[in-house]
Amino acid sequence: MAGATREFVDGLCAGGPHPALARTRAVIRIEVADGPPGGGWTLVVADGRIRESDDVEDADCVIRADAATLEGLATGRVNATAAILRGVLHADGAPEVLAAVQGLMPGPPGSTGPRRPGTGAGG
Amino acid sequence: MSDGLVQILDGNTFVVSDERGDIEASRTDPTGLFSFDTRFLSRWVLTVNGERLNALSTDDLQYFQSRFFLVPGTGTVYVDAKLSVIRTRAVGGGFHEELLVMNHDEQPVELEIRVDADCDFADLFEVKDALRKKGSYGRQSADGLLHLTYERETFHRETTISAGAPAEIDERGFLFRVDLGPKARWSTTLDVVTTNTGLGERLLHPKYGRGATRARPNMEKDLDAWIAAAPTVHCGWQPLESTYRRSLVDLAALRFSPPVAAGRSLPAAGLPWFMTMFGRDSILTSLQALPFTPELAEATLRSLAARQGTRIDDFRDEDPGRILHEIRYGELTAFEERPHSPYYGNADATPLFVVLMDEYERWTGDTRLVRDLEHNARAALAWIDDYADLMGNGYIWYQRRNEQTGLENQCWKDSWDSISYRDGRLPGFPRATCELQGYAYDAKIRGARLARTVWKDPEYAARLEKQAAELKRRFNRDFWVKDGEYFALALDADGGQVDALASNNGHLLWSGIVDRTKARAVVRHLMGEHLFSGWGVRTLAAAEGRYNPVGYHVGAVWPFDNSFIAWGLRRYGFKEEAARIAAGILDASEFFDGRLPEAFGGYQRQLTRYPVRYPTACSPQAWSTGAPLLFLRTMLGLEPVGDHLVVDPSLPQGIGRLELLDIPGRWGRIDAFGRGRVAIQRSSGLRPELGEEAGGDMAPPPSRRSGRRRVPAG
Repeated sequence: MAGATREFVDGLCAGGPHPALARTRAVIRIEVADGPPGGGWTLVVADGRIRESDDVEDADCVIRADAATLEGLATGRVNATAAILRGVLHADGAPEVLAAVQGLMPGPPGSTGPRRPGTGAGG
Repeated sequence: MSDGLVQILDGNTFVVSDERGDIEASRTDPTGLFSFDTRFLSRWVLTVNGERLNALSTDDLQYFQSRFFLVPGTGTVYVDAKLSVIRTRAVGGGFHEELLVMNHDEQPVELEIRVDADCDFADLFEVKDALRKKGSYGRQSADGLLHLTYERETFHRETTISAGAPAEIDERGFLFRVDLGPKARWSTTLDVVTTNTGLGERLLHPKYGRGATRARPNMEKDLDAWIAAAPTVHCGWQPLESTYRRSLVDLAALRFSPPVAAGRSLPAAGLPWFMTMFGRDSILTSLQALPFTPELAEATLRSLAARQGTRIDDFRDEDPGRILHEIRYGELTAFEERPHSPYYGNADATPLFVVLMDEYERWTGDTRLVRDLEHNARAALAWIDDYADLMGNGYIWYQRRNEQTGLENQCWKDSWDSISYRDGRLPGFPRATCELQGYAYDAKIRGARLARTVWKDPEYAARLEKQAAELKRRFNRDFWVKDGEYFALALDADGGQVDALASNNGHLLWSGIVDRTKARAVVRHLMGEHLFSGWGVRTLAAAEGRYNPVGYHVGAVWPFDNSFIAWGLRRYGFKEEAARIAAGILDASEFFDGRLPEAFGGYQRQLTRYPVRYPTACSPQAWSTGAPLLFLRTMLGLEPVGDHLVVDPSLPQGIGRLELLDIPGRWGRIDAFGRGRVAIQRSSGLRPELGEEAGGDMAPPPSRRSGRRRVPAG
């Protein structure tokens, strides 16, 4: 169930540098509400890069949802802001860090982007 | 708002009631207590011994506080005032109410004082569009509290009401049984607290604790500090001083701190429908207010940057680099029945984001912000070329990808019929409206300045300047209507000119994209009889097919629009014309007690003698509130140049002497003075104020051009 979330986290750590995070230093904790105790991920953001940490650190931002919701976020099928408003995603801590993390989440799988009339090509 | 309604607000929490303080909302009218786009009270009715009360008077004490003077009985000429009630209400994370009942009789009275409460938890969009609810309601009275709840799956909203005095609480409200002696008084407090549990935690901390009489933080002190920090206006024409103060207070009221703003406040767009962050409105209002309250611009830039688009999302019309259009927090957004989480469907906020960033730095010298948001500015500039150029010909085009609930017109004139040919036909999509190209040009020029001076990237600066020059050349060729000598409203998908004459020409002057050789002809149109009504420039010229003096974007006069047109006229050296527009709109403001509405009718001034308010105009609206501020700037000709502020006044004659003291900026604080010299041609029968010399004069003696430099503060 957590495969897509795992892949998403791995992708974040392998990718980068993320220009949008160039000035962000933060620890983000992702918790799986219906997962085993001690599960989840702790991510450290520094110098535009993200790494996973096993150390227990005070998080600047904690994101908590069930595994299915997290998978939806990781694959772009769930929008984080709408999920927070609906009460299925709980986020505590620095809102600007949360916004930065949201910015790294993918868009919906079926979205094609702007199309140029007559060409069908994306913008 | 309709007359007879009383509104108080704090950020995106507001209360709209009748003149008695009562709320009896139908499904479709925007009365009630609203917070985060949800109605938290739809019924709030006070009775004494089963009788409704009658309002003797209503005082708006502050934007967040009202007082209602009431007596029992309604509908009769004669009022038996043996008993009176003073109801004082302040908004702040819900609202706090104080009831004071006074027996003026020499006999004791037994009273049943009742407050009925109910809530439909409507999403603001449901009120606007008359939609039905999908969740279930609950009501419970326990431990001295009345809980009204709404649930839909995991979505939960709650209103909690408590009273200071002993009460019998049932599911419909509060009953106070009071034995009031001769000449005696009785009082209680009532607190209404809103809870958004779906937001993970209580986002709103009520500013009034149970039974407390003062808000925390103290809102009156906050308002005093806000006004004290702003420059001071002294003017020979008194209405301008009142309008200025009204604008400052309304701007304070419209301050809104979205969760990403880290406690900073930016201007929400307007009451009642638009109490949230809008890319376009927040940016344009911040631009208008820059010489007065530059902190709004900083909050706007940082908040919009935090939610800048990063991905492709067709439902939300999101692209990487795009600046949001609107964010909402209600039920329909939560369940993705509306795309406002946030919605990105606009084509102007992205270039305007760069324009505001540059203008902010020019005024404040805050290069730290420009460095912090370098990535965001570059992404915005890249969006213009990579995502907005739908036809591949170097212009910004728009066409929504969300066909169900997205916006068709993604420019400021966003109503369905706003973009038309002269003969009234509507073009297909995509559309490239002219002002968008002006904004893009300005963004590239200003982005180049920031790249050269702050980011130290001269190659990028040169590239942007080259693109801007090419855009200007193309634009002056493709949009220029040769036989009419003005710029077309838009291009259609076939590259043809959407050739209506509209106020957008003024925005083109503001952006600087107009060739100098064409400017005079454009100004002739703006000040000509088809566009200029005498009060201001109409959104659409009177000779066009779709012109309607009470058409929202097809004939009405928008104060905000005119404030940017006047700025554009100044930019091209047409100082007297800018002063004439300022005179017309400021004159109109007096008819609205200093609070300019969103729009008023485009009727010729001689026809109506007074500006006719647009029927459903939003008020106060942020960019109307900001319009007098921008007019002050343009009339005084304030322009930052390096570390100095240039003052070059051109004022309507009737304004007399104008002083703007303590203008904040990179120079510290500076004063500007001017004297009215521009004669305003009046037709017979018009009011004299701004067309004639002001009666009173002010000391010290007039000085036409002076700017006094002060030692920078701190």
